[in-house]
Amino acid sequence: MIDEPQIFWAVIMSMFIGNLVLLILNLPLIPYIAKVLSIPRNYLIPFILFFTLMGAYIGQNNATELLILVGFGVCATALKFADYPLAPLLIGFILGGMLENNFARSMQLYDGVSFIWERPMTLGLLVIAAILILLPSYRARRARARAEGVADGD
Amino acid sequence: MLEGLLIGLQTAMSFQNLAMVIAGCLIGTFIGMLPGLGPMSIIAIMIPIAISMGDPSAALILLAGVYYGAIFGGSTSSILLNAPGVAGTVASSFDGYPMAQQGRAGKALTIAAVCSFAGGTIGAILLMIFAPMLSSVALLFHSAEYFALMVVGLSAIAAFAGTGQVAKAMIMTVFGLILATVGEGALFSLPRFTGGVMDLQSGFGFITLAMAMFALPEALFLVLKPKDAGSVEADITDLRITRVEARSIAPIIGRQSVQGFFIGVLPGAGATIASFLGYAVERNLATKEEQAEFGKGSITGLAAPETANNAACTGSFVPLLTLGIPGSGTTALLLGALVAQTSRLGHG
Repeated sequence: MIDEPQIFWAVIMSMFIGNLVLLILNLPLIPYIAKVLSIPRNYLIPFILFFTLMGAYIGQNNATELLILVGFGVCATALKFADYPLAPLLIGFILGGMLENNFARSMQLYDGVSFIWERPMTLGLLVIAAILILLPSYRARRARARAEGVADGD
Repeated sequence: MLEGLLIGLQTAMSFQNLAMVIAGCLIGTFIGMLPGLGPMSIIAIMIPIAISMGDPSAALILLAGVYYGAIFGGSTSSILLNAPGVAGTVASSFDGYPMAQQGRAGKALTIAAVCSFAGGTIGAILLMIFAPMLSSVALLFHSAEYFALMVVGLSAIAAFAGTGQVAKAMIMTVFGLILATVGEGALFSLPRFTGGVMDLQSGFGFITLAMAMFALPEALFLVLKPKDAGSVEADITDLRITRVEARSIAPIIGRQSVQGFFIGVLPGAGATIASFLGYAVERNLATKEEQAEFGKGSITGLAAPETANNAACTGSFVPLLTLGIPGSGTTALLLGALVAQTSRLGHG
């Protein structure tokens, strides 16, 4: 399976050991880590701000990123007040880039969108996607229908 | 296989390699807790040290330890501060952060630790059994399948939205898709929507956006609306998981470690998609009462992505160890470290 089976097996065994080590080392530390939350908020907020700014700067290594961070952060706060969920935006952003790259590459390979029905696995996955989109509304409709049925029966 | 296991155990149990595992895990966990430093950057920092070891298996063991240690530690900042530093732990904040806000931080961290352990261990067992078979399946996945997989990931977004919030969730997703188009396009390397700003040439940074969406609004929200930020009353250091909770988590660990592992095997898919899909699948499988809890501090909603992302990390080693093809940026770095020591993986 591999030119150097010793490495393969050693890595797998080290995974078992590593997972165990992580569990044993971390469980006793959890109470202390959780105490972060009992820090009064006036002290915690500057820390959060510091780490977010630092994280953004390290991630991209340029100062423009800080402006972008603050700009988006203020917009996101406004959206939060309006009770909009923010996670979907991030998911859309992460998946959007990969989605576009792969779609463009397949379009090039197949000279169109014929890959959608020519590749059974692609078709299967897209059917799953369609089910995932339609399932909640179907469930809701069925639940409504049942509720009405009960009302009629009374 | 048994023979291989013994050789592996012998190698892994040597003093040097044991020290490497422990050091790697510790470094990974603690640096991983800082938002903004994902496994990629930590491994990049550690590569010179690993190479200087002169032993390829010790180097790989150290870096692999850093890798899953970082994923393990990354969930800590997601849960406590709502500041995910790694894309793979974003989904952990959906329910982990509300739990911490309700004074159940200790329990949330314990569940994260236990689920990570279970996901990683079951993943390693699956790796042992399925690695040779899976390597050929992973190669069947072409860009068309990846495209379809991303569509599945996007379609699962309805699952993240609470009741009556589906439309809002859709709007936000579209905003996200729009933001993803900034930077150089996929087909033609021409800058789009950069407004002439050079720094936007490569698009928005993931970490920047994650911080802007989660951590920063959280801090600003607390400043602007201090009344809502009632101090946490309950005992946050309480670690206990009740028997009822353990029973509700167990099937999730079973399902998500398998599903997460197989998604992780696909090159390029990895921990992020595994955790999102894990969350979505478990939400759909949950009963109505449990479903209402999702996003408000549900233990099942935390267990699913935590198990899945660790299993996926292990799964991402399949193409690396069997074919010598890196399935993610992180495993590409691992491969680079090995190649630097002229060690060949895969069929060569």
